[in-house]
Amino acid sequence: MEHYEKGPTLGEGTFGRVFAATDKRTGRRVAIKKIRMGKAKEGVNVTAIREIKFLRELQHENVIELIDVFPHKRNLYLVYEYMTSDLEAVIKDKANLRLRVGDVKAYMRAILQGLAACHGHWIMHRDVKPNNILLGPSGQVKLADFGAGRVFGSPNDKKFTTQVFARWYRAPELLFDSQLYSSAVDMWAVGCVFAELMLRRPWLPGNNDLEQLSLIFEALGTPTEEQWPGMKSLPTASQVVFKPIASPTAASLRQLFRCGADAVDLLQQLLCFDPSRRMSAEQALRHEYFGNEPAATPWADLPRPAVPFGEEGSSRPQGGAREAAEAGAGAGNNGHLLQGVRRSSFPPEGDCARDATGVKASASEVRMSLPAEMKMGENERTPVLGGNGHRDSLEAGERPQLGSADKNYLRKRKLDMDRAFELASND
Amino acid sequence: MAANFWSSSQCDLLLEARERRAEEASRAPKPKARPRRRQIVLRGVEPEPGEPGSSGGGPGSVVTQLVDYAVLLSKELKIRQRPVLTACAYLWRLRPETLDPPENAVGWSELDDERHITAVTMACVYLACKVEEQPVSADKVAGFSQGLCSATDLLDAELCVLEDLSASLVVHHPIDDVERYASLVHADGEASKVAMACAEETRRTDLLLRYPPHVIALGCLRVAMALEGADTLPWCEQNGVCKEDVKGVCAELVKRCRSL
Ligand SMILES: Nc1ncnc2c1ncn2[C@@H]1O[C@H](COP(=O)(O)OP(=O)(O)OP(=O)(O)O)[C@@H](O)[C@H]1O
Ligand SMILES: [Mg+2]
Repeated sequence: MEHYEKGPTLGEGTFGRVFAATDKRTGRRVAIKKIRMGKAKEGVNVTAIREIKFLRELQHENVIELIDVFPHKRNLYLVYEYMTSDLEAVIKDKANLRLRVGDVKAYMRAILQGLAACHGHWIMHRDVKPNNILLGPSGQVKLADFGAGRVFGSPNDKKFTTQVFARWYRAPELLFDSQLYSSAVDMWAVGCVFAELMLRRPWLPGNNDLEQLSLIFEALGTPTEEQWPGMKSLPTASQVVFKPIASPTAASLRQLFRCGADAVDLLQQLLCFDPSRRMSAEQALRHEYFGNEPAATPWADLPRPAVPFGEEGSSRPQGGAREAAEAGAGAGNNGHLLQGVRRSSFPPEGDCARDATGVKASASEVRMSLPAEMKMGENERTPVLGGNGHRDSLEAGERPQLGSADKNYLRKRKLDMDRAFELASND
Repeated sequence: MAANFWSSSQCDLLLEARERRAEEASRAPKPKARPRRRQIVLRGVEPEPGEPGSSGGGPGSVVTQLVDYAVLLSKELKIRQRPVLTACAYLWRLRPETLDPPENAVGWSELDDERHITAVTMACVYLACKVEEQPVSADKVAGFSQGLCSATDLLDAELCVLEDLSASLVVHHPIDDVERYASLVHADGEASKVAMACAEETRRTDLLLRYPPHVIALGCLRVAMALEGADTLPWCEQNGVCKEDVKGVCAELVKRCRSL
């Protein structure tokens, strides 16, 4: 700590506060994250450990640099290169910033290059979303927030948790609870970010996992056996019957995104249902979209939000609060694992009650038929975390009875919980 | 992850260590390392007998002892192989100063010394379990010291270990490469089992600080194949692996096996 001159607070993360600082030895401007250890019974949080272990191995111009890690007074400090803003701020600042085709291309290329580096190291990011893509003082674009990252591709891979990514960026195989997935989940999220860059708003903002699936199917068509051969065998896929919807034509997507045929083709390949056929980061970088005119904007010329980190004042409340406020009650657009779980497993109580009595659910426009048990399953899927009161507020009488098969399913779910969650929930 | 050894922080560490050794060798004979003032006693672990002729072990033998302690601890807590190997690699990577706290600190007793080194060892295991995504609880780990270290001591030591390792937490292990190369050098089931056992045994040596994991793996395979009368050295050479390095690994392994 003695090497750094502390500056103003830049933001608040799930595991600690981030503040600006200057390295007294070099004069370099940095951002320091203080990992809260306070009452932690389990020492340095696994999220921080993951961030450290991955960022130490990844040195790439599109991945945030972890400069130093040091303990001080029983807290752990992570020193990062200083960044001024994130992609979410750019997307939202519709009033001041215009995004040209070349700008979107430059962002996409940077994100894909960063992810290609991760995947080349067999690391899945698992939390790709606009606010985890940071922008540097001279326009650099870098992936950050590796706290949900995970090594994949080892032959003895065991089950992974499916509670990763903010819901809006969650790939369909995750929504169907597939526990053996790979880097393709990151690519789906990139597709969503691509769409969001063009639309300037989240494309598929579901309020719960089921609604998310139906939004996806409405937008991209319900996948047929041919489009996604393995789908029917995924854990929860057989319990839900979706109305068949035809895939959108390229022309209609071009109209929606007001973009070229090459962009639509890239988008469709990133948002390919079958994870094994979904485009990889390497392949995407070779897509003709990046070769075509207009060329990607050089990063120094990329638009920058007027308000840098730490100066948003009241207009930008801290971290998750802002997202939650905008996403509406129960909508989780927060990468943090535990919060993701809480939100996804406890949709607003009103919904449950109405589901149970057979009245149309809040997602009334959701065109799907599914057994009542499945809806309960959706709500019950995670064990009670701490004394969260949401479930207790449901009258026992309103609950539909679970079939025994579903009970087994739920029990299994509880056993399968990723250990990481137990740890995370200790905090 | 194993595919990326060449771009890993472990590779950087290895290159640095090589440079350092070369530099030391070119300098005047260095003064004898300060002998530890006593053997440390750790629960259930025999101190290393040390090289014949020398009194007590050098710094290396202290680490061997700590490795044994870590392995015992891991057995009791049923920790899997990979976190144990990673923990052992951490122990070897620690700077001697971390293992050997200043002697003249006020009020420092031998008991503190033992407590310190136990906490550091346990912290390596505890941290490695988190890094390998198979976390164990701090209370359980601390419990193994039977009251010598509290969970708080363990967590303090965790921070200290993190700093000492300069946060390079990913370790590439020879054991993965043994699997990969076994079929290439035509090692059958039995030979590859022997090679695996050798690779596991390397955790008690500082080989990982001196050679890339795949070279260690090839050394293990060579020893295993030698038992069957085959020499894999020509294969290594053909594939551009330094013959001398593989031989060096083998020599160390054979020395180990003799002392068993
Ligand atoms: N390198 C950096 N430079 C400048 N500001 C940063 C940097 N890293 C983080 N910040 C600021 O700190 C805030 C918190 O960052 P952090 O990554 O810890 O949390 P988060 O992304 O909000 O949390 P999570 O994704 O875990 O919910 C960010 O929103 C950002 O404002
Ligand atoms: Mg974030």
